[in-house]
Amino acid sequence: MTALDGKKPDSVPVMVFNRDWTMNHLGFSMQDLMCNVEKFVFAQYYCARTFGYDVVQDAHGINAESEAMGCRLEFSADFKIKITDQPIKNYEEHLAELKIANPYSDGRLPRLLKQVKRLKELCGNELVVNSYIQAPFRQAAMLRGNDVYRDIIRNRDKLYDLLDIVLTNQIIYATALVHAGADVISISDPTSSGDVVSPQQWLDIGYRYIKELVKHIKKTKVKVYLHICGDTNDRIDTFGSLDLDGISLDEKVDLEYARKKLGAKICIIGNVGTSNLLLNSPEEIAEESRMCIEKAGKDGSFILCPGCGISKDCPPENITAMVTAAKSYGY
Amino acid sequence: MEELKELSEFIKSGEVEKSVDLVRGIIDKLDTKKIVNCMTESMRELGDRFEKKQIFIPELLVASDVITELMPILEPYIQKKKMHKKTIVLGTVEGDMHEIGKNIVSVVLKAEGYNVIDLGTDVSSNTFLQAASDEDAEIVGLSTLMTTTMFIQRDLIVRLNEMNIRSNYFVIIGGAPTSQKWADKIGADAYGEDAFSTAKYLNDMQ
Repeated sequence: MTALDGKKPDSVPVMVFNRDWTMNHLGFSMQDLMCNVEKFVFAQYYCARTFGYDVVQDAHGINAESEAMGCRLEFSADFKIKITDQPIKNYEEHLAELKIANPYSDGRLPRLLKQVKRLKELCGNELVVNSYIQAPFRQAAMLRGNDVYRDIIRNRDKLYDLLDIVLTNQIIYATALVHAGADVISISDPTSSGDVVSPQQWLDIGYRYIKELVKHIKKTKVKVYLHICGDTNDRIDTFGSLDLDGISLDEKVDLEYARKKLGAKICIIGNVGTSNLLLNSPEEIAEESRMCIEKAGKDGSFILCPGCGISKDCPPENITAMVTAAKSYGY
Repeated sequence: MEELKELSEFIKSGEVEKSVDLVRGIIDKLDTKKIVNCMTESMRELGDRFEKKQIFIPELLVASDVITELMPILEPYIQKKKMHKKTIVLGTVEGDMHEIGKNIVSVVLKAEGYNVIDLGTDVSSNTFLQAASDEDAEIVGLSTLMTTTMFIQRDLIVRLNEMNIRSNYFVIIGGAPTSQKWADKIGADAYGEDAFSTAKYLNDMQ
C-alpha cells in the first residue's frame, strides 16, 4: 500500500496476476475456481505465503460482470472461457432490455464478493486484497462483441448509450467489492490498448469512462490502479490525469520511459514478460526483474509484477525468482 | 479509372453499400484483375498507415467489412480466370476465441489473391489437419492471443512431424504473445507480426 501511496516501502513489493496459476499449482480445477470459494481463497493465500509475494487477488478476469448483465459464458476444464452469447446484438432491440446487475444476487457476483470477504478475513493487514473490475469499454465489448470497434466509426452515439449504462453497473459493483473488503481495485481495459484503438479514440471512449469510474471508486477511499494490455507508449501521458494511484504496464512499455513520462508519484506496476515467465530460466527472470526495478522502482512507488496474467503452466521457480530479485535488488 | 479511385476511397472509409453497388456496376465492363488490384492496393495502403500508427483496428475492421462483402461478388470471376495464389487454412487455435487479428489476416490475404480457408476461432488441431488435407493447402496459419493457448501452435507442429507430413505445409504463426523466438522454438516456418507483414512474407515467398 505504501507503494500505491507514491512512497518507498521497506522492500520492493511483488504482485502476480495468477488466477489460474494458483489453482493449477495446488491441483485444483476450473470448477473449483468458479464454484468453490474456500479452495480459491486457500490457493491465493497459500501461494502468497509460500512464494512470499504481497498481494492476493479475487477471481479476476472471469467476466463475471458481463455474465451478470446477460453475456453467456462457457468454462472448460482447462481454464478457458468461451463467450457463447452476447446480449447487445443490435442497439435498437436490446439496449432498452439491458439491466444493471445487482452484485448481491446476480450471476457469480455474490460468490466473488464472498471470496473478497474471506480473503480479507484471512489476510487482515498481512497481505493486500486486490479486487478486479472490467473497464467500461471492456464491459461494453463483452456485451456487444467486436462490433464495438465498428461502432466507434459507424455508431458512436449508441456506443455511448451502452457505455453510460455499463459505467453505472461498474460503479455499483466496485462499491460492493470495497464493502466486501477490497483494499485495492484494479481496472482492466485490454480494449483500449494502443495496439487496438487510436490515441484520440482512447481519449473519447476508454479514458473518458475510466476517469468517471475512478472518480466514483475513489470516494470509497480505496486505492485504484489501471491495467491496459499491449503497447500504450503513445498514450502514457494521459494516464497521469486519471487520478489513479497506480498504472500496470504491459511488457511492451519500457518502464524507464514510463517513469520519465509519469513522474515519481504514480505507482508503476510491471512488467516482467508473461511469455518470458513461461519460457525463460529463473536466472533470466531474475535479471529481467532487476531491470524493471532499476528502470522504475529505485525510489519506491513501484510494484514488481508480470506485464499481464501469467500462464497456469508458469514454472514456480520463476515466481520465486521474481520475489528473490525484489529482495536482492530492492531497497 | 475514376470508378476504381472511388472504390479505393470507399474501401478505405469502410463504405460497404457504396462499394458493393459500385462493383456490381463495373464488374461486367472492367477486367476483374483491375478490381482485385484496387482492393489489394487499398488494403496495402491501410497496412502502411496501420504500421505507422495512423489508423487502428476500428478503421481496419470497417475496411475489412467491405472486402468481405466484395469477395463473393468477385469470386466467380477470380475462379474463372484462375487468379488464386496459394491456399491457406487459417484459424485461431483451440481454446482461444480471439478473432479480430485473425479476421484481418484473412481479409488481407484474400485481397492479396490467396485462397483463404478461414476455420474461425477455437479450432481443434484435428480440424486444422483435416482442412489442410481436404483443401490441399500449402500454408497453415495459426493465431493465438493468449499465453494459455500458445502451446497449441507447438502441439500442431508436433503432430505434423509425428504424421510425417510436416514438409507438406508452410506453417506461419502469429498473435500477441508469440514472437520470432517462439516460432523458432516450436519449429514454425515463419512468424507474422500482423496481417500485412504476413501477406508481405508470403508474397515474397511466391
